Amino acid sequence: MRVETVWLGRGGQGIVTATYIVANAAVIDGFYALANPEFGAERRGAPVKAFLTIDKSPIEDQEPVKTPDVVVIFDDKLIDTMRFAIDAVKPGGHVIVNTAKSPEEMKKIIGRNDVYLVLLDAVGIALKHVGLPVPNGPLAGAFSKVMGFPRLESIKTAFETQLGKAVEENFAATKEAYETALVVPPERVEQAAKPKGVISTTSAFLTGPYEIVGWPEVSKAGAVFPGSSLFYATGGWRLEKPVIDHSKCIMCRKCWMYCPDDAVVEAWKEVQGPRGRVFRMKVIDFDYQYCKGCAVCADVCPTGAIKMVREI
Amino acid sequence: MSSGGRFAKIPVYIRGNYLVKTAIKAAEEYQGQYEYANFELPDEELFLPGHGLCASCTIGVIARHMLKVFGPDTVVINPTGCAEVSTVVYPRTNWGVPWIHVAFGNGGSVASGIEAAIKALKRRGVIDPGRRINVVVFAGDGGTADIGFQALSGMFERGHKVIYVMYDNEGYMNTGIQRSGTTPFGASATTSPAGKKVPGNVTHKKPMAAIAAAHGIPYVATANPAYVHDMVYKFKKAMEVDGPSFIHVLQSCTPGWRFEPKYAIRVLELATETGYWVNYEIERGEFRVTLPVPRRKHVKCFLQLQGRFRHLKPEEVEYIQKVIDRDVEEINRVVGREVIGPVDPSLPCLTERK
Amino acid sequence: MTAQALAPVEKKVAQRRIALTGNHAVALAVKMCRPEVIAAYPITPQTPVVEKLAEYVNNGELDAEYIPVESEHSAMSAVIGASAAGARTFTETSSQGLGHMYENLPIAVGMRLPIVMGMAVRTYSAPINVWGDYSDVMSMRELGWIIYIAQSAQEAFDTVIQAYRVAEDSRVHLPAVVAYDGFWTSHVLQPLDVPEDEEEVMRFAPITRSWVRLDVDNPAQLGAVGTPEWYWEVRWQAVEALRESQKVIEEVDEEFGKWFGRRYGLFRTHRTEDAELVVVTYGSLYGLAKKVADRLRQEGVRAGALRLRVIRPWPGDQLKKALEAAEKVFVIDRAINHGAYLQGPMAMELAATLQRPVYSALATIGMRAIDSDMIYEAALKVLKGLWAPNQTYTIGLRGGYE
Ligand SMILES: Cc1ncc(C[n+]2csc(CCOP(=O)(O)OP(=O)(O)O)c2C)c(N)n1
Ligand code: SF4
Ligand code: SF4
Ligand code: SF4
Ligand SMILES: [Mg+2]
Repeated sequence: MRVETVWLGRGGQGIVTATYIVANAAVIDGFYALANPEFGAERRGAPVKAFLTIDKSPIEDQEPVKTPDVVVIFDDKLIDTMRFAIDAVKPGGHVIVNTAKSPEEMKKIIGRNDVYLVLLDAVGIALKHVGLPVPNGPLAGAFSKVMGFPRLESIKTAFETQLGKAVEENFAATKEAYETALVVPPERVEQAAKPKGVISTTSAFLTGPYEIVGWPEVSKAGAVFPGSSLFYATGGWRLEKPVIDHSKCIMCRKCWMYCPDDAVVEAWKEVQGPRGRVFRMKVIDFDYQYCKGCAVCADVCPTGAIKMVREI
Repeated sequence: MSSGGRFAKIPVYIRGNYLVKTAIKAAEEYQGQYEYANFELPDEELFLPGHGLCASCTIGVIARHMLKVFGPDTVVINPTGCAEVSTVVYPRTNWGVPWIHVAFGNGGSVASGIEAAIKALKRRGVIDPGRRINVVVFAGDGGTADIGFQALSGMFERGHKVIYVMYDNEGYMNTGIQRSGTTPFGASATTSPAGKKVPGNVTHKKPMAAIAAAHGIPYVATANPAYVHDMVYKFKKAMEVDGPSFIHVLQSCTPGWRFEPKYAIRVLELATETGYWVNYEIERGEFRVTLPVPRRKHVKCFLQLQGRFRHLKPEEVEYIQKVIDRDVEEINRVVGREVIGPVDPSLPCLTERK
Repeated sequence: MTAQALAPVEKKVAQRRIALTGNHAVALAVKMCRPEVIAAYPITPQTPVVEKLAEYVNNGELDAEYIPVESEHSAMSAVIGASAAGARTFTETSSQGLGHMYENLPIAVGMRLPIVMGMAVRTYSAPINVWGDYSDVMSMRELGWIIYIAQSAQEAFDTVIQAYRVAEDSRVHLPAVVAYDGFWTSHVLQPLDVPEDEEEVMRFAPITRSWVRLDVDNPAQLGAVGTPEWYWEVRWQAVEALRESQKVIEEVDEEFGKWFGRRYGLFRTHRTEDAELVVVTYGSLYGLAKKVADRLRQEGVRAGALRLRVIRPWPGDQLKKALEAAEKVFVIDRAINHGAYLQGPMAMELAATLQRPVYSALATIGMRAIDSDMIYEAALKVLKGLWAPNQTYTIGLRGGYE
């Protein structure tokens, strides 16, 4: 028996910890396991991927998983960027997603009818028990539920060794997820069928939509040039987005001043006056391509004009 | 150091237990209007979005405004650290000005070389001699106070006209929140963890601004991005002096300090409101508090917002308060007047905003 | 091209003969190349170079910014910064100073900066020893620098000029180091020919400024993070450039010969054509190796000598050709390759190049004195089969492997 899994999420969501905990718990249960995270140069919020392989026999072939049995997705907004991983799941395999969306909607978004869909609001559960939007404990619970291992008690022990704190809170979240995760079985599975794709060995997908070229084409001395970062849409990092009520805004520009991502912009808005005349007004707006949803703008706004709205 | 002032050889205020003697004298606090009102900060962004800094990282706030002041004729030297690894990752960059990263401990020396090259190339007519090109180091506390300390000192002592901006998040954040020479007393960091025996970091912040001033360079300042106008005013001044300048900027770090991202600016405000961080400048040896604080909040307001101080016992918090009280006293003595007021327990820690 | 064919050609540039130590010859060459920024830190045995350069600058003979840095780490950092800003730069160091600047050496390569560095070689501590062996420069072999080893003051002088021209060539854009014996060259007064008109040097090696630079009118960012998806490709360009540089090195050497009447090749040979034994070495020791070859020839042994000059890029094909016919290749190394199959670094590389066993010995370690008789004795042992190939012997080590 061997189970190969890929865990996809964002730095800071506890994805590495999640794979360590599940691997550790599997080891407690007598399995062999390898939790193999990929570390990029990015900070929390940027996409991260980790491989976790669990086997009855020792594992020496430490290589990237190309066609996983299970894919765990920490953030349903990542689905589009990470579609290649969903496509690579073996028929009859599992796609475990942290989402608050309805099963129907998720089925459509995932777009596969030959795999198990496992859905849970892991962030909601984590907020309830741990008080932080860290979906790792609940996703470990959902994993245990559908795979039948590792045992919940082992996960608890693994929390103790891996976290060493807030064990009860995290375990409560894991247990709730174990109990409530929704499992949508596949419509049909052709066991012999191959997955639609494979996960590429490079992790280039993480850094942006850049053309991967050979050595003669890369820039001399590794020099880079202004403007290139604009392709890096960090808006995908967001869990919440800022929304403005223009009627409360006094245009003090504090939000603009303190946004670390230059995502607060001034825009012109057309408003209709009482007698039909159209006025153009300068207003504050957000550049959601880059806004990471940090909520600094909402916090510094003196009039409460900015509210944060949960996105996933 | 401009010597022969009215108060030659006054001990400079230093956080912690040490006093360094240097010719620093009191000056009137800054009375003038700040150069830029909110609406007058240039709109042009030379630090472009699409970077890998954590959500809410105030490195972004500092870098944006820094370049607004320095403008396009600026070369940035960025030693290894969060700012560097998050903003220039092949094939993308967030900087709109020439920028270079060489290594971790050599911001001061790389800048020395660049400044010297510009001088020489102006003499040889390769660069227009009339053109002002700002040479700016943007370095972390580790790259400045620790591994880059010698290169920094050499750069100051040789008098290169370089603006050195140290963003201080009080730890080695890039490598995962280890302590640095500027990690404050009591903070838990991964190499000074809050343990059963030792309550986190047991040393005080290395007083970098005072150390810089002791080199006798023409302009030294501390700044806080929560007070953007004060900060940009200092960038502007640093740009105008003839010789090295040093600006020590406090910078909040969500994972390192462990506060909710939305409090990135609040926690910095509290640093100043509690007297933990005093915004001052030392211009040609004249010491001036640029942001007086008439009544202080208790330091617990600053500490309790952050997970890195959560383990502290009340006595330890009181000890930190005492150290601040003593520092404040020292500052007031140097200035000759109470620029930083007493702790007022009636002040609420966080005023809830609407 | 073997070096044998390099008979002096007619000089185009008028020259005068002077006498200088190796260090002062290097300083003079640097001055004639008009670097814009010099940053250096004293260390024996190269100190006279940086002192002389400071003197030139302070006397107004050289219009450069001289940065008296506080360490070698800063020296290399400053020249990297200055070179990135578009200036022609120079620094020089030895031994511990090289160790101190080490982390910056591969950075200069990755950024493709045409820095020229001099090195009066010296061994590494401990025990602390200020004297010359080649341990320091040998530790640079993996980094991507062009490495020249000069034999004499004249050659060090000439090679500095060649190095600027090569490093700044747009097919190359790599840093180059010019190494020469600490003390036995650096501090030995020797005759050399230098151009009457310094301008000739700038005509031969004008500053190209063709490398990637920090320019406010065309802002680029240098020193990006190279993630696993990109690092290899970016670095590979430097690998290819170093390979490519061999052609440029030869070209420049040839042209230098036309201008100044002296050429050196990638390596030099002495009576190797029909040699059964070739003594290979580098630096000032070559003179002794030649003397030994001549002595053996008189005694009826077909002996020759070969001096390695450009060791990076490694002229493997050319060496193979030059040593093909030699029955016994005897490499006298001047640095220890600790723990390797052969303890001599160049012996290892030659064995790999020739794909057959070579004879290996160490000499002059920590500047242990040596004379031609000792080399002669060693060569005899090789000839008589008393020394076996695939082993490293020592010449001058008490209780050593003789
Ligand atoms: C010579 C050397 N030693 C260690 C490191 C590893 N390193 C990289 S960044 C860093 C810490 C940076 O700290 P700081 O300067 O405070 O910047 P921050 O990451 O906090 O922004 C360390 C230890 C290195 N790159 N080079
Ligand atoms: S939420 Fe953060 S990133 Fe987004 S606009 Fe507000 S301050 Fe900027
Ligand atoms: S901070 Fe609030 S009031 Fe001020 S400009 Fe922004 S939204 Fe408007
Ligand atoms: S770790 Fe801290 S300093 Fe580094 S990017 Fe994140 S918030 Fe900024
Ligand atoms: Mg830091």
